[in-house]
Amino acid sequence: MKNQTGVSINKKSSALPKIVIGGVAFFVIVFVFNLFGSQIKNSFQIASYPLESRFFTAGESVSSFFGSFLKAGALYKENENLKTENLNLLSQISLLVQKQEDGKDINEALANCKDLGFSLVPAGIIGLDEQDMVSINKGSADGVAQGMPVINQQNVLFGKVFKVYKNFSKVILISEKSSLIDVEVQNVDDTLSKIYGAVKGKGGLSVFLDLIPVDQEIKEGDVLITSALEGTFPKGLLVGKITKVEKNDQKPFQQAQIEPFFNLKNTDNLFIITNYKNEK
Amino acid sequence: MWLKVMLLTISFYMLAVLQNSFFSYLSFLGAVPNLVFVLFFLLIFFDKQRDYYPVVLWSVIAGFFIDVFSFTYFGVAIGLLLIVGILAKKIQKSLREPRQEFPLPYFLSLFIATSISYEILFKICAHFLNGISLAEILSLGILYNIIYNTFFAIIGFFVYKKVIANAVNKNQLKLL
Repeated sequence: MKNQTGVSINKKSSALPKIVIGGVAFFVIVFVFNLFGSQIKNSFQIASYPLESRFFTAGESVSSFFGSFLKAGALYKENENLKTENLNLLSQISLLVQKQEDGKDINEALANCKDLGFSLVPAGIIGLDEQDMVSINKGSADGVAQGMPVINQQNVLFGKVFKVYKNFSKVILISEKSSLIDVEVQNVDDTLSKIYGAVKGKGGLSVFLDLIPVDQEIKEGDVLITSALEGTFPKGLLVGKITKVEKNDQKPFQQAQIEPFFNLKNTDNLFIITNYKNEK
Repeated sequence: MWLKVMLLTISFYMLAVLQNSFFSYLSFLGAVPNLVFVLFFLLIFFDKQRDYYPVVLWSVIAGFFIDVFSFTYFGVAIGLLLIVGILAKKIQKSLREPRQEFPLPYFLSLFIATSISYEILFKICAHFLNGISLAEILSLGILYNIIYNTFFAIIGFFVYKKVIANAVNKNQLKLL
Protein backbone atom coordinates (compact mmCIF):
# COMPACT_ATOMS: atom_id res chain seq x y z
CA MET A 1 0.00 0.00 0.00
CA LYS A 2 2.79 2.32 0.99
CA ASN A 3 4.73 1.33 -2.14
CA GLN A 4 1.69 1.77 -4.29
CA THR A 5 1.15 5.26 -2.90
CA GLY A 6 4.79 6.06 -3.49
CA VAL A 7 4.63 4.90 -7.10
CA SER A 8 1.51 6.92 -7.66
CA ILE A 9 3.14 10.11 -6.35
CA ASN A 10 6.23 9.50 -8.48
CA LYS A 11 4.09 9.06 -11.57
CA LYS A 12 2.25 12.30 -10.96
CA SER A 13 5.39 14.24 -10.19
CA SER A 14 7.09 12.90 -13.33
CA ALA A 15 4.05 13.61 -15.49
CA LEU A 16 3.94 17.31 -14.66
CA PRO A 17 7.32 18.29 -16.17
CA LYS A 18 6.44 16.29 -19.28
CA ILE A 19 3.17 18.18 -19.68
CA VAL A 20 4.94 21.51 -19.11
CA ILE A 21 7.74 20.67 -21.58
CA GLY A 22 5.18 19.33 -24.08
CA GLY A 23 3.07 22.48 -23.73
CA VAL A 24 6.07 24.76 -24.23
CA ALA A 25 7.23 22.69 -27.21
CA PHE A 26 3.73 22.90 -28.72
CA PHE A 27 3.61 26.69 -28.44
CA VAL A 28 7.14 27.05 -29.84
CA ILE A 29 6.28 24.84 -32.83
CA VAL A 30 3.02 26.68 -33.45
CA PHE A 31 4.77 30.05 -33.12
CA VAL A 32 7.49 29.07 -35.62
CA PHE A 33 4.90 27.63 -38.04
CA ASN A 34 2.86 30.83 -37.90
CA LEU A 35 5.95 33.01 -38.23
CA PHE A 36 6.55 31.42 -41.62
CA GLY A 37 2.90 30.41 -42.12
CA SER A 38 2.32 32.18 -45.44
CA GLN A 39 5.57 30.88 -46.93
CA ILE A 40 4.92 27.32 -45.75
CA LYS A 41 1.35 27.30 -47.08
CA ASN A 42 2.44 28.93 -50.33
CA SER A 43 5.27 26.42 -50.85
CA PHE A 44 2.98 23.47 -50.21
CA GLN A 45 0.35 24.83 -52.58
CA ILE A 46 2.93 25.36 -55.33
CA ALA A 47 4.46 21.92 -54.79
CA SER A 48 1.03 20.27 -54.68
CA TYR A 49 -0.44 22.14 -57.62
CA PRO A 50 0.43 19.57 -60.35
CA LEU A 51 -0.96 16.75 -58.21
CA GLU A 52 -3.99 18.77 -57.11
CA SER A 53 -4.88 19.79 -60.66
CA ARG A 54 -4.72 16.14 -61.76
CA PHE A 55 -6.94 15.05 -58.90
CA PHE A 56 -9.23 17.98 -59.57
CA THR A 57 -9.66 16.97 -63.22
CA ALA A 58 -10.17 13.35 -62.18
CA GLY A 59 -12.79 14.45 -59.65
CA GLU A 60 -14.57 16.47 -62.31
CA SER A 61 -14.62 13.46 -64.66
CA VAL A 62 -15.91 11.11 -61.96
CA SER A 63 -18.51 13.65 -60.89
CA SER A 64 -19.63 14.18 -64.50
CA PHE A 65 -19.84 10.43 -65.01
CA PHE A 66 -22.04 9.90 -61.95
CA GLY A 67 -23.98 13.07 -62.72
CA SER A 68 -24.66 11.90 -66.26
CA PHE A 69 -25.52 8.43 -65.02
CA LEU A 70 -27.89 9.72 -62.39
CA LYS A 71 -29.52 12.29 -64.60
CA ALA A 72 -29.92 10.18 -67.71
CA GLY A 73 -26.77 10.96 -69.61
CA ALA A 74 -27.38 13.23 -72.55
CA LEU A 75 -30.32 14.96 -70.92
CA TYR A 76 -28.11 16.10 -68.07
CA LYS A 77 -25.44 17.45 -70.43
CA GLU A 78 -28.03 19.22 -72.53
CA ASN A 79 -29.50 20.74 -69.42
CA GLU A 80 -26.07 21.98 -68.32
CA ASN A 81 -25.48 23.51 -71.75
CA LEU A 82 -28.86 25.22 -71.64
CA LYS A 83 -28.08 26.55 -68.18
CA THR A 84 -24.81 28.00 -69.41
CA GLU A 85 -26.55 29.51 -72.42
CA ASN A 86 -29.24 30.91 -70.16
CA LEU A 87 -26.63 32.50 -67.92
CA ASN A 88 -25.01 34.13 -70.93
CA LEU A 89 -28.36 35.56 -71.96
CA LEU A 90 -29.14 36.72 -68.44
CA SER A 91 -25.72 38.33 -68.30
CA GLN A 92 -26.45 40.21 -71.50
CA ILE A 93 -29.87 41.30 -70.22
CA SER A 94 -28.24 42.51 -67.03
CA LEU A 95 -25.74 44.57 -68.98
CA LEU A 96 -28.42 45.90 -71.30
CA VAL A 97 -30.63 47.04 -68.45
CA GLN A 98 -27.74 48.65 -66.66
CA LYS A 99 -26.50 50.46 -69.73
CA GLN A 100 -30.00 51.56 -70.64
CA GLU A 101 -30.33 53.14 -67.22
CA ASP A 102 -27.09 54.98 -67.70
CA GLY A 103 -28.35 56.36 -71.00
CA LYS A 104 -25.49 54.92 -73.01
CA ASP A 105 -25.48 53.38 -76.42
CA ILE A 106 -27.31 50.06 -76.40
CA ASN A 107 -24.64 48.43 -78.51
CA GLU A 108 -22.06 48.90 -75.80
CA ALA A 109 -24.19 46.88 -73.48
CA LEU A 110 -23.46 43.74 -75.45
CA ALA A 111 -19.82 43.94 -74.55
CA ASN A 112 -18.51 41.80 -71.77
CA CYS A 113 -17.50 42.73 -68.25
CA LYS A 114 -14.20 44.24 -69.34
CA ASP A 115 -16.07 47.05 -71.01
CA LEU A 116 -17.40 48.11 -67.63
CA GLY A 117 -13.85 49.15 -66.84
CA PHE A 118 -12.92 46.25 -64.65
CA SER A 119 -9.48 44.73 -64.64
CA LEU A 120 -9.89 40.99 -64.47
CA VAL A 121 -7.36 38.44 -63.31
CA PRO A 122 -8.26 34.91 -64.47
CA ALA A 123 -7.77 32.19 -61.89
CA GLY A 124 -8.26 28.43 -61.71
CA ILE A 125 -9.99 26.68 -58.84
CA ILE A 126 -7.55 24.35 -57.11
CA GLY A 127 -9.58 23.18 -54.17
CA LEU A 128 -12.63 23.42 -51.99
CA ASP A 129 -12.05 24.09 -48.29
CA GLU A 130 -14.74 23.53 -45.78
CA GLN A 131 -18.14 23.96 -47.41
CA ASP A 132 -18.21 27.44 -48.78
CA MET A 133 -14.65 28.40 -49.50
CA VAL A 134 -12.50 27.68 -52.55
CA SER A 135 -8.78 27.99 -53.23
CA ILE A 136 -7.64 29.68 -56.43
CA ASN A 137 -4.21 29.67 -58.06
CA LYS A 138 -3.64 33.43 -58.00
CA GLY A 139 -2.27 35.44 -55.10
CA SER A 140 -0.65 38.71 -54.12
CA ALA A 141 2.03 38.21 -56.79
CA ASP A 142 -0.76 38.54 -59.39
CA GLY A 143 -2.25 41.65 -57.85
CA VAL A 144 -4.96 39.91 -55.85
CA ALA A 145 -5.95 41.53 -52.57
CA GLN A 146 -8.39 40.75 -49.79
CA GLY A 147 -12.02 41.69 -50.42
CA MET A 148 -11.84 41.67 -54.23
CA PRO A 149 -15.00 40.36 -55.97
CA VAL A 150 -14.79 37.01 -57.76
CA ILE A 151 -16.97 36.23 -60.78
CA ASN A 152 -17.04 33.87 -63.75
CA GLN A 153 -17.10 34.69 -67.45
CA GLN A 154 -20.87 35.13 -67.40
CA ASN A 155 -20.71 37.81 -64.69
CA VAL A 156 -22.05 35.42 -62.09
CA LEU A 157 -20.96 36.45 -58.62
CA PHE A 158 -19.11 33.72 -56.70
CA GLY A 159 -17.83 35.61 -53.69
CA LYS A 160 -14.87 37.64 -52.56
CA VAL A 161 -11.24 37.05 -51.76
CA PHE A 162 -10.93 36.14 -48.10
CA LYS A 163 -7.24 35.44 -47.58
CA VAL A 164 -4.29 36.08 -49.86
CA TYR A 165 -0.97 34.28 -50.07
CA LYS A 166 1.81 34.91 -52.55
CA ASN A 167 0.69 32.46 -55.24
CA PHE A 168 -2.80 31.43 -54.18
CA SER A 169 -5.85 32.78 -52.37
CA LYS A 170 -8.90 31.63 -50.49
CA VAL A 171 -12.26 32.81 -51.80
CA ILE A 172 -15.29 32.91 -49.54
CA LEU A 173 -18.44 32.04 -51.50
CA ILE A 174 -21.68 34.00 -51.22
CA SER A 175 -23.23 30.89 -49.64
CA GLU A 176 -21.01 31.14 -46.54
CA LYS A 177 -23.15 31.86 -43.49
CA SER A 178 -21.60 35.23 -42.71
CA SER A 179 -22.10 36.42 -46.31
CA LEU A 180 -24.64 39.18 -46.95
CA ILE A 181 -25.06 40.93 -50.31
CA ASP A 182 -27.34 43.80 -51.23
CA VAL A 183 -29.33 42.84 -54.31
CA GLU A 184 -32.10 44.15 -56.47
CA VAL A 185 -34.69 42.31 -58.47
CA GLN A 186 -33.80 42.69 -62.12
CA ASN A 187 -36.44 44.72 -63.86
CA VAL A 188 -36.55 45.54 -67.54
CA ASP A 189 -39.46 47.94 -67.09
CA ASP A 190 -38.19 51.35 -65.96
CA THR A 191 -41.65 52.48 -64.90
CA LEU A 192 -41.72 50.00 -62.02
CA SER A 193 -40.01 50.86 -58.76
CA LYS A 194 -36.87 48.97 -57.86
CA ILE A 195 -37.08 46.19 -55.30
CA TYR A 196 -34.08 45.85 -53.02
CA GLY A 197 -33.23 43.03 -50.66
CA ALA A 198 -30.36 41.06 -49.20
CA VAL A 199 -29.06 37.65 -50.17
CA LYS A 200 -27.72 35.75 -47.20
CA GLY A 201 -25.60 32.62 -47.13
CA LYS A 202 -27.16 29.46 -45.72
CA GLY A 203 -24.07 27.30 -45.88
CA GLY A 204 -23.76 24.13 -47.95
CA LEU A 205 -23.54 26.14 -51.20
CA SER A 206 -27.05 27.57 -50.81
CA VAL A 207 -28.43 31.09 -50.25
CA PHE A 208 -31.75 32.78 -49.52
CA LEU A 209 -33.33 36.18 -50.12
CA ASP A 210 -34.34 38.32 -47.16
CA LEU A 211 -35.38 41.86 -46.22
CA ILE A 212 -37.89 42.34 -49.03
CA PRO A 213 -40.76 44.51 -47.70
CA VAL A 214 -44.09 42.63 -47.65
CA ASP A 215 -45.76 45.21 -49.87
CA GLN A 216 -43.31 44.54 -52.70
CA GLU A 217 -44.27 42.00 -55.31
CA ILE A 218 -41.69 39.37 -56.08
CA LYS A 219 -42.35 36.17 -57.93
CA GLU A 220 -40.84 32.85 -58.86
CA GLY A 221 -38.34 33.21 -61.66
CA ASP A 222 -37.26 36.76 -60.79
CA VAL A 223 -33.56 37.27 -61.32
CA LEU A 224 -31.44 38.90 -58.62
CA ILE A 225 -28.44 41.08 -59.39
CA THR A 226 -26.05 42.98 -57.12
CA SER A 227 -27.15 46.50 -56.28
CA ALA A 228 -23.74 47.77 -55.12
CA LEU A 229 -25.30 49.51 -52.13
CA GLU A 230 -22.78 48.04 -49.71
CA GLY A 231 -19.84 48.88 -51.95
CA THR A 232 -18.21 45.45 -51.91
CA PHE A 233 -19.47 44.24 -55.28
CA PRO A 234 -20.08 46.11 -58.53
CA LYS A 235 -23.61 46.67 -59.74
CA GLY A 236 -25.27 44.21 -62.07
CA LEU A 237 -23.55 40.93 -61.23
CA LEU A 238 -25.82 37.90 -61.44
CA VAL A 239 -26.63 36.29 -58.10
CA GLY A 240 -29.54 33.88 -58.47
CA LYS A 241 -33.14 33.19 -59.37
CA ILE A 242 -36.12 33.10 -57.01
CA THR A 243 -37.58 29.61 -56.77
CA LYS A 244 -40.12 30.04 -53.97
CA VAL A 245 -41.50 33.10 -52.22
CA GLU A 246 -42.16 32.78 -48.49
CA LYS A 247 -44.52 35.54 -47.45
CA ASN A 248 -45.87 35.92 -43.95
CA ASP A 249 -48.06 38.96 -43.18
CA GLN A 250 -47.00 38.87 -39.55
CA LYS A 251 -43.41 39.54 -40.50
CA PRO A 252 -42.21 42.92 -41.79
CA PHE A 253 -40.13 41.31 -44.51
CA GLN A 254 -40.67 38.46 -46.91
CA GLN A 255 -38.10 35.84 -47.73
CA ALA A 256 -37.52 33.68 -50.77
CA GLN A 257 -35.66 30.56 -51.69
CA ILE A 258 -33.05 31.12 -54.38
CA GLU A 259 -31.28 28.95 -56.86
CA PRO A 260 -27.83 30.55 -56.95
CA PHE A 261 -26.25 30.94 -60.38
CA PHE A 262 -22.76 30.02 -59.21
CA ASN A 263 -21.94 26.39 -59.81
CA LEU A 264 -18.57 24.98 -58.89
CA LYS A 265 -19.09 21.83 -60.90
CA ASN A 266 -19.22 23.60 -64.24
CA THR A 267 -16.58 26.19 -63.54
CA ASP A 268 -12.97 25.85 -64.52
CA ASN A 269 -11.97 29.49 -64.41
CA LEU A 270 -12.91 32.39 -62.23
CA PHE A 271 -12.11 36.07 -62.62
CA ILE A 272 -11.05 38.45 -59.90
CA ILE A 273 -12.04 42.08 -60.31
CA THR A 274 -8.90 43.81 -59.15
CA ASN A 275 -9.77 47.48 -59.58
CA TYR A 276 -13.33 47.82 -58.34
CA LYS A 277 -12.46 49.25 -54.93
CA ASN A 278 -9.86 51.59 -56.39
CA GLU A 279 -12.45 53.11 -58.66
CA LYS A 280 -14.77 54.03 -55.87
CA MET B 1 9.29 2.82 -36.81
CA TRP B 2 10.74 5.62 -38.95
CA LEU B 3 9.58 3.90 -42.09
CA LYS B 4 6.09 3.70 -40.63
CA VAL B 5 6.15 7.41 -39.72
CA MET B 6 7.41 8.31 -43.19
CA LEU B 7 4.81 6.21 -44.98
CA LEU B 8 2.00 7.57 -42.86
CA THR B 9 3.24 11.17 -43.32
CA ILE B 10 3.07 10.66 -47.09
CA SER B 11 -0.38 9.10 -46.67
CA PHE B 12 -1.59 12.09 -44.64
CA TYR B 13 -0.26 14.44 -47.32
CA MET B 14 -1.89 12.51 -50.15
CA LEU B 15 -5.21 12.40 -48.32
CA ALA B 16 -5.00 16.15 -47.63
CA VAL B 17 -4.45 16.81 -51.34
CA LEU B 18 -7.23 14.38 -52.28
CA GLN B 19 -9.82 15.92 -49.99
CA ASN B 20 -8.93 19.40 -51.26
CA SER B 21 -9.08 18.53 -54.93
CA PHE B 22 -10.69 15.24 -55.99
CA PHE B 23 -13.46 15.31 -53.41
CA SER B 24 -14.31 18.95 -54.13
CA TYR B 25 -16.41 17.57 -56.97
CA LEU B 26 -17.79 14.69 -54.98
CA SER B 27 -19.27 16.66 -52.14
CA PHE B 28 -22.24 15.27 -50.24
CA LEU B 29 -24.77 18.11 -49.78
CA GLY B 30 -21.85 20.51 -49.79
CA ALA B 31 -19.77 18.48 -47.34
CA VAL B 32 -16.26 17.30 -48.20
CA PRO B 33 -14.80 14.35 -46.26
CA ASN B 34 -11.96 14.97 -43.83
CA LEU B 35 -9.87 11.94 -44.79
CA VAL B 36 -6.88 13.13 -42.77
CA PHE B 37 -9.04 13.07 -39.65
CA VAL B 38 -10.36 9.61 -40.55
CA LEU B 39 -6.84 8.17 -40.86
CA PHE B 40 -5.78 9.96 -37.67
CA PHE B 41 -8.67 8.39 -35.77
CA LEU B 42 -7.99 4.92 -37.18
CA LEU B 43 -4.38 5.13 -36.01
CA ILE B 44 -5.41 6.27 -32.55
CA PHE B 45 -8.19 3.70 -32.27
CA PHE B 46 -6.19 0.66 -33.31
CA ASP B 47 -3.04 1.66 -31.45
CA LYS B 48 -2.45 -0.75 -28.60
CA GLN B 49 0.06 1.35 -26.70
CA ARG B 50 -1.19 2.68 -23.40
CA ASP B 51 0.71 5.99 -23.47
CA TYR B 52 -0.10 9.14 -25.40
CA TYR B 53 3.04 9.50 -27.53
CA PRO B 54 1.38 8.14 -30.71
CA VAL B 55 -1.52 10.57 -30.18
CA VAL B 56 0.92 13.49 -29.98
CA LEU B 57 2.90 12.30 -33.02
CA TRP B 58 -0.12 11.74 -35.27
CA SER B 59 -1.78 14.96 -34.05
CA VAL B 60 1.25 17.01 -35.10
CA ILE B 61 1.60 15.32 -38.50
CA ALA B 62 -2.11 15.14 -39.37
CA GLY B 63 -2.81 18.60 -37.91
CA PHE B 64 0.04 20.10 -39.91
CA PHE B 65 -1.42 18.91 -43.21
CA ILE B 66 -4.94 20.02 -42.28
CA ASP B 67 -3.56 23.45 -41.35
CA VAL B 68 -1.46 23.75 -44.52
CA PHE B 69 -4.52 23.44 -46.74
CA SER B 70 -6.86 25.29 -44.40
CA PHE B 71 -7.62 28.99 -44.09
CA THR B 72 -6.91 29.01 -40.35
CA TYR B 73 -3.67 29.66 -38.52
CA PHE B 74 -1.12 26.93 -37.94
CA GLY B 75 -1.71 25.07 -34.72
CA VAL B 76 -5.51 25.05 -34.77
CA ALA B 77 -5.90 21.55 -36.20
CA ILE B 78 -2.81 20.28 -34.36
CA GLY B 79 -4.20 21.50 -31.03
CA LEU B 80 -7.71 20.22 -31.70
CA LEU B 81 -6.50 16.80 -32.81
CA LEU B 82 -4.39 16.62 -29.65
CA ILE B 83 -7.43 17.41 -27.51
CA VAL B 84 -9.87 15.04 -29.20
CA GLY B 85 -7.18 12.36 -29.65
CA ILE B 86 -6.26 12.35 -25.97
CA LEU B 87 -9.94 12.35 -24.98
CA ALA B 88 -10.67 9.44 -27.33
CA LYS B 89 -7.68 7.55 -25.96
CA LYS B 90 -8.81 8.17 -22.37
CA ILE B 91 -12.32 6.94 -23.16
CA GLN B 92 -10.88 3.96 -25.00
CA LYS B 93 -8.62 3.11 -22.06
CA SER B 94 -11.53 3.13 -19.64
CA LEU B 95 -13.87 1.20 -21.96
CA ARG B 96 -11.59 -1.13 -23.87
CA GLU B 97 -12.82 -4.65 -23.74
CA PRO B 98 -10.25 -7.27 -22.65
CA ARG B 99 -9.93 -9.21 -25.90
CA GLN B 100 -9.46 -6.06 -27.98
CA GLU B 101 -11.70 -7.19 -30.81
CA PHE B 102 -12.77 -3.64 -31.60
CA PRO B 103 -16.44 -4.15 -32.53
CA LEU B 104 -17.92 -1.78 -35.10
CA PRO B 105 -20.56 -0.14 -32.83
CA TYR B 106 -17.82 0.69 -30.33
CA PHE B 107 -15.68 2.17 -33.10
CA LEU B 108 -18.58 4.12 -34.58
CA SER B 109 -19.79 5.63 -31.33
CA LEU B 110 -16.28 6.77 -30.44
CA PHE B 111 -15.63 8.07 -33.96
CA ILE B 112 -18.88 10.05 -34.11
CA ALA B 113 -18.32 11.54 -30.64
CA THR B 114 -14.77 12.53 -31.58
CA SER B 115 -15.89 13.95 -34.95
CA ILE B 116 -18.63 16.06 -33.38
CA SER B 117 -16.16 17.44 -30.80
CA TYR B 118 -13.59 18.21 -33.49
CA GLU B 119 -16.08 19.86 -35.87
CA ILE B 120 -17.61 22.05 -33.16
CA LEU B 121 -14.23 23.08 -31.72
CA PHE B 122 -12.94 23.82 -35.23
CA LYS B 123 -15.93 26.07 -36.00
CA ILE B 124 -15.46 27.91 -32.69
CA CYS B 125 -11.75 28.47 -33.45
CA ALA B 126 -12.56 29.57 -37.02
CA HIS B 127 -15.08 32.04 -35.61
CA PHE B 128 -12.70 33.65 -33.14
CA LEU B 129 -9.58 33.54 -35.33
CA ASN B 130 -11.03 34.11 -38.81
CA GLY B 131 -14.46 35.64 -38.27
CA ILE B 132 -16.36 32.71 -39.76
CA SER B 133 -20.01 32.72 -38.69
CA LEU B 134 -20.71 30.84 -35.46
CA ALA B 135 -24.09 29.83 -36.91
CA GLU B 136 -22.20 27.09 -38.76
CA ILE B 137 -22.19 25.12 -35.51
CA LEU B 138 -25.96 24.82 -35.56
CA SER B 139 -26.16 24.10 -39.27
CA LEU B 140 -26.74 20.78 -40.96
CA GLY B 141 -23.30 21.15 -42.53
CA ILE B 142 -21.68 19.53 -39.49
CA LEU B 143 -24.11 16.63 -39.72
CA TYR B 144 -23.34 16.11 -43.42
CA ASN B 145 -19.61 16.29 -42.70
CA ILE B 146 -19.91 13.67 -40.00
CA ILE B 147 -22.07 11.37 -42.15
CA TYR B 148 -19.58 11.62 -45.00
CA ASN B 149 -16.60 11.10 -42.70
CA THR B 150 -18.30 8.14 -41.05
CA PHE B 151 -18.80 6.50 -44.44
CA PHE B 152 -15.06 6.60 -45.08
CA ALA B 153 -14.29 5.68 -41.47
CA ILE B 154 -16.34 2.47 -41.83
CA ILE B 155 -14.42 1.56 -44.99
CA GLY B 156 -11.16 2.38 -43.21
CA PHE B 157 -12.25 0.36 -40.18
CA PHE B 158 -12.75 -2.83 -42.19
CA VAL B 159 -9.64 -2.30 -44.29
CA TYR B 160 -7.53 -1.68 -41.20
CA LYS B 161 -9.07 -4.51 -39.21
CA LYS B 162 -9.17 -7.17 -41.91
CA VAL B 163 -6.03 -6.37 -43.82
CA ILE B 164 -3.52 -4.43 -41.77
CA ALA B 165 -4.34 -5.60 -38.23
CA ASN B 166 -4.44 -9.25 -39.34
CA ALA B 167 -1.16 -8.87 -41.17
CA VAL B 168 0.45 -7.31 -38.11
CA ASN B 169 -0.88 -10.09 -35.87
CA LYS B 170 0.51 -12.71 -38.21
CA ASN B 171 3.84 -10.85 -38.42
CA GLN B 172 3.33 -10.45 -42.14
CA LEU B 173 3.61 -6.70 -42.12
CA LYS B 174 6.07 -5.77 -39.45
CA LEU B 175 6.56 -2.19 -40.52
CA LEU B 176 3.02 -1.36 -39.42
